[in-house]
Amino acid sequence: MNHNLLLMLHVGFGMMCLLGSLWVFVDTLQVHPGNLVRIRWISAAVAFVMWSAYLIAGYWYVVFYPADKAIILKGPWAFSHNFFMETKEHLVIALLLTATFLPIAARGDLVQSAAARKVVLWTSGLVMGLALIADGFGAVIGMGVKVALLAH
Amino acid sequence: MDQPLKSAADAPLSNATVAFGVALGITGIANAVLVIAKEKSPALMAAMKATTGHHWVTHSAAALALFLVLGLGLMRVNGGQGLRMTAGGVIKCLVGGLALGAALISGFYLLGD
Repeated sequence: MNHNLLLMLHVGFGMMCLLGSLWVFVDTLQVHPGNLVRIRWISAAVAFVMWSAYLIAGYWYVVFYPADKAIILKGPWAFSHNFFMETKEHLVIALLLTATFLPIAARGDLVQSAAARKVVLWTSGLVMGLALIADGFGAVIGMGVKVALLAH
Repeated sequence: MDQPLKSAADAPLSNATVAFGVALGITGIANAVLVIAKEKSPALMAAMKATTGHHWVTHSAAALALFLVLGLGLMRVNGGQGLRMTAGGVIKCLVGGLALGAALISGFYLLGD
């Protein structure tokens, strides 16, 4: 598979993770017996797509990113690696684990327990926030490559 | 259309939710500490590279292992009943741990590296 398509697949799974966590958040605000099973399935799907995004990104990062890194560091946006990539590659570990925790929290009795609902709301909110940061940082890293290539 | 339920009686959090929620907060901080440690210690960085071939792969595996071991371990404390914490306590732990971890990582690469 073309490695650029692989990278887009990573972004696509990341977006599904973000949208899925938003779905869980909104559904949990209006939880009732009729949507409880859906919340749990979507929570599991969030974890699944996040793991997919992570494994694809990990392979791409180890195999293909060194070439992009060399380009970025020679260009005017070296900070897109030195700060944005360095931070992102470690922050997404926390995102992965938070997305993994979401289906665990969603197994609680969300209909009867306000405590269980609060934990799911906070967890899905954290997944959304961290996924947004990862997406934005990814955009800056991509621009780092682009401006470096345009400068030469 | 079904109406949302707001019960007066509140069931406690499950053992797994509390244990893995706390494990997530602790791992969030440990993840950041490992970032700083490996960046500051060439020996640790070299050892992490040698372990799996790439420091980031070792880092990911270590964080995942810590999360799982802590979560499963905390489920077994108190004679198998797990930790007793309120939702507020679990949320403070996981939000605080993740926020502190994120601040340490971004602050390190912004200022300290």
